[in-house]
Amino acid sequence: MRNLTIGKWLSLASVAAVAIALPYIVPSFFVNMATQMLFLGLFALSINLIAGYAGMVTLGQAGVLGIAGYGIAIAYSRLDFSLGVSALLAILSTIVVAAFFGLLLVRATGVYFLMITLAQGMVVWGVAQRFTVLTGGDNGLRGISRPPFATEYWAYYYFSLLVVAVCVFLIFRIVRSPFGLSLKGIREAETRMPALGYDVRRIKLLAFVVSGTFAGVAGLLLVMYNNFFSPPSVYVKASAEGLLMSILGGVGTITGAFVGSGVFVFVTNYVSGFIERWPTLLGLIFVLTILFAPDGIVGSWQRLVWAPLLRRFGDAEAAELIEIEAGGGGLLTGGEAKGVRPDPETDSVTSVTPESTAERQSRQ
Amino acid sequence: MTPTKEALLDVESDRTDTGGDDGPPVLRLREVSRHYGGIRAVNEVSFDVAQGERRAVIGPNGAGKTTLFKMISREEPTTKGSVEFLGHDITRTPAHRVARLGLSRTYQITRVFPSLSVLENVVLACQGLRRGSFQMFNSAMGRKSIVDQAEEAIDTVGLRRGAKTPASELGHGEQRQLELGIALAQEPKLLLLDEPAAGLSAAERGLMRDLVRGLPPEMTVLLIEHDMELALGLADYVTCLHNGSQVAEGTPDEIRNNERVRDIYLGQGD
Repeated sequence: MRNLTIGKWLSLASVAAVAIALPYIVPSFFVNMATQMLFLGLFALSINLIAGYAGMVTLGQAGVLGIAGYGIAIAYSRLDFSLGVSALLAILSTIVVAAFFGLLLVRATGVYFLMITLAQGMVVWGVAQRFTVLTGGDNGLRGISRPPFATEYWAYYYFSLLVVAVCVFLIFRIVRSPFGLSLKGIREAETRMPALGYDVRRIKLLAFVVSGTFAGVAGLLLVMYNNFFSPPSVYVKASAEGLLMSILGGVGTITGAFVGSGVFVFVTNYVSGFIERWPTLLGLIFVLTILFAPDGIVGSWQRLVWAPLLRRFGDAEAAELIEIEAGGGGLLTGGEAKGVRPDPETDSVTSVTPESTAERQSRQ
Repeated sequence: MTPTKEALLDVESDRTDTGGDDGPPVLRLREVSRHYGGIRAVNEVSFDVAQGERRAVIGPNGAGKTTLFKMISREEPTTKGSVEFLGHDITRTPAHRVARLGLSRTYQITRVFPSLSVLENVVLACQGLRRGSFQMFNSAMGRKSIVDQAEEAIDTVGLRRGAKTPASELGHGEQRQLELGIALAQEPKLLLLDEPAAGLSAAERGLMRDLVRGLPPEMTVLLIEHDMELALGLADYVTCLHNGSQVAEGTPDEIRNNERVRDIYLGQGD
């Protein structure tokens, strides 16, 4: 256990040191990449919160992000509110819309849930595209400025770093809280939760709103970074990219979202300068991850490098904890099916057959 | 609080007779039916279960035992009839409210939380009935009273050593113990056990029988069991279902000697 704690604090400290020193080490191009990695990572993490921790996979999160994006853009550039007030209004409208979307979602599970989120995302996109008086349609909305104290690229980087760090801290607390444990319960065996006294719909609704709020914050950082917001940012492709980032990094982990967004930003911004077919490369990376490292980069790292290392130092207990964590929710390996079989409609005979007894005895 | 086994035995010797209570029944079923289209999975089943009673529901495969349980725990709607629990009509109450009234159940097919540790499984069960399961900023595993309660339940079912093991890594027998631990941790007034010994070896069955025998005497237990000997050994009173209908009711001895039960149940050879 001690090795685990020391290891975690050491890695946290080194990540923080690198993050703070970054603008002094690398040119502005890379600092801007890091800024994008931060807010896209937060977006991926907001998806991870419901997909990885609660087992509700969404394809409409960019629509929720879009409410915040359009919210601040409209409030600031059309209604002439100050930036702070606009940001606040944007977050509030995100919460309201996420709650409304959530109410439509809580009855659905699995693929139905996925389809409804997809539809909701497309509704936001449709409105953004067609309601041109408000959203500017294809031309998007311009003229949103960064906070006056963070107009320089490096200042905006630090600003994003601070906002994202606060959000990550909050999410870290949430996934370990009683509420977070309830989310994991829903992911692991949703059908048992009501019999334990949980109002599953309320928990799901709250999870969707909380996750949407973080997506909204990511949206604000995105708008202010680009000084511009337009329909592609809320399109299903953006939602899918967020989901893929969180899978690439490792579902059910916090660091995974940022590793995933880092790879994504690196390929789209940097590698794309050398390889014309970079979308193919990105696709290949995703396919290979799902085939060979279904726990994602962070999950595999924990399982293949970190856990054996801890074992070597004689800390088997910590190693085991790491491995459980790396397992995530089994989002790609069948979710609830893992270890829990579906409920039969009627009684079924569970007489002990000779084979199964032998099998069980050999397992024990 | 869930007392340890030793404490339970003490309590048992103090109380000479619990069966004679004339209080209102903990559970009252009135012509409870569940129809799937034309199929009557459960048809007009009525019985009362008194406080502290151990009642077994037996019957051959497909008799409707599990469906009956699901209607009591409100995981399945009731087509006709009424279910009363502690004087409340719960026929239309949502499952989570019924659970909060003091009803817990186990499942025939283990339904634990596979990637959570044994302790987390049981903590999840404990916090479900308490206020504060929507708290977001304190640690779930840091709420001492809940964790203590969970650890006691884990002790009771004998899983103390593996409290940090993920549930998916337990053997089948241990998962059954955890299954029971999750329900017991909630300190229910009525406990529904759906084939607690399903798929267990003879030795494990013995352990499970002792666990169920050692439950607090004031806890009311309704139990489905396919193993006739186990069921008759544990219950004060037995209800036999066949094709969804109630065919016999009585003490284990009466059931053993009941012609119809023999015909439809024992005659098939389990």
